Amino acid sequence: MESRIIRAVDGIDFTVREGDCFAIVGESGSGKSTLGLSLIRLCPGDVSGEILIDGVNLLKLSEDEIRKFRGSKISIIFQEPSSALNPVMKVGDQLMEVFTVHGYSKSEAYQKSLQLLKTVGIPEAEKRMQTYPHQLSGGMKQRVIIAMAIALNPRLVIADEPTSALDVTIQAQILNLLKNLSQSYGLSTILITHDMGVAAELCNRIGIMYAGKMVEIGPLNSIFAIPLHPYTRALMSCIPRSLKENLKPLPGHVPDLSNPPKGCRFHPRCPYAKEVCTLEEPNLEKIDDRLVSCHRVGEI
Amino acid sequence: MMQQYTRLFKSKRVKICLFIILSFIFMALFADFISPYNPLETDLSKSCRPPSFEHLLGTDELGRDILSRIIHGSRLTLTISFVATALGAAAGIFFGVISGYFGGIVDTIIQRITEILLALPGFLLAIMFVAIMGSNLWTVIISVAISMTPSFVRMVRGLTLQVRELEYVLAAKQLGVNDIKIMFNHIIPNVSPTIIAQVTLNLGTSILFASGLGFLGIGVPPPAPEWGTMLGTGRAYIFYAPHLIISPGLSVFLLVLSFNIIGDRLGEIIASK
Repeated sequence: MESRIIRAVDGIDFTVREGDCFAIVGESGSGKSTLGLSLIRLCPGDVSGEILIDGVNLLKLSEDEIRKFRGSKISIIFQEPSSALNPVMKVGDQLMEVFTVHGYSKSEAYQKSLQLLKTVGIPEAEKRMQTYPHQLSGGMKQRVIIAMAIALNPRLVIADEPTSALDVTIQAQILNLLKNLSQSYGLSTILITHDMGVAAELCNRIGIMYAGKMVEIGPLNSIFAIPLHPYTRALMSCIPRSLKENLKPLPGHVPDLSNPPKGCRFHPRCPYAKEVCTLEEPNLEKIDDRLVSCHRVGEI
Repeated sequence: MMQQYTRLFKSKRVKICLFIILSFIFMALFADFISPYNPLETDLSKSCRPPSFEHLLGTDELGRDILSRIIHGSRLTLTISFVATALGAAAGIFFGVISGYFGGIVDTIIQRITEILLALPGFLLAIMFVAIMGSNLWTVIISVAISMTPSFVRMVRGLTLQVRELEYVLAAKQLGVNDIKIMFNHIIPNVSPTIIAQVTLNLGTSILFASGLGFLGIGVPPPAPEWGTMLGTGRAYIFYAPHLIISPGLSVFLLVLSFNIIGDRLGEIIASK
């Protein structure tokens, strides 16, 4: 069998300013989560390019240096709260571990963990320290995971679908919590989501990802007002607005990345595709306040 | 989790087996107080006497009291069983977790060695090590431990491969937790239920191995009252004085069966989760 290189994430370039929230939106299989893991160098494949935090290139760090970086400068909140906590370790011990591996003493770690649980809005923190994850609800677990992610005051938190596994009322609470935390700690956040609504709630800039590439990057407001890329438009029309209006689902699937379509990767599903789209790959072009990669952006 | 384990003791079979094991442990601990005679004292005038009130299980070919030898033998057998299993399991967990967690060249080296050891039957392996190192209590323990290590390595590696891909391991990694802590705090505790079941089964197997070595005359050397050795020497008198082999044989049988039944039940409970 011939092994092929799959570029799950290809040629992505973006910046998150301090205290900002940047959303990466895309369908399942578009490479969002791979991007998230790559940023923290936990992606099982090869990563090339540059990942800069405060001018430090994460890809140039040694294993030991990156380990110290993880948690203290950059961390991830995972999607599934029920599987992101060790089931046989007490919640408190797991929280304290984050501190102890970064050089805090046991008693300091305990105090800080307690404080953190209160910060993320967990009542009866002392008692909760002694419980196992299965004794907590999904929302509570996600709060604990958020507490672990912000424990060491990182510069950047990557939230990978932080609310997808929760029901809607809890979603709103968790989103509010993230919003408050990023404001009070000056955290920069990268929010990975497939839900435009969640992105709108939290972020001020968004990047739309399709088949491993960014197709549109810009301020949230202007993208929501006038989506330029056909894929962004399709995503927007997937948001339910009223009961009378029918949803317009986007037909087809994200292409197989071991054999991506020639030209623009979106052209097989694009209602505006022309010959040029099947031949040449479009580049990100600056249009007003954003970047769009589409051959026909001016015409449609 | 704990509720799962209390289910273990609901079964009558398990209760009986536990009682058998505990009584052997009791015998082993208080052997000096409860055994009616010195297990090593010979009296040729009383050789091969059948069970009587004086000697409840009879005497052996040298006139030693078999009951006392069984009681003292339980000490040897349980020591070999527990220590060998602990050593074998510890080594197996160590190499298994390292092999599964790191993968790559480390995995390849450990797995090839394991495969070579697995290619030989475990008992043959044990015989080989005793042959190389000579036979005394410690070499028996170590050779039994070595013979059970490969299967532990295999099992733990497989379990580690499953667990290391789980999100909480990734979550710990992304918070900067180092490899050693991940293995100790996150991987080993989560694979331990299966290991516990396997350890229980191996407690039984190790008794079979140790008494098998004794039976072949390369186990704990005489005059120590090791059950396998007793079986081996008693075999010569099997038609003339069958009580020589019935008691040690029955002891091995009961203890191994008890460990196996408990181990199986544990395995079932873990699998049903």
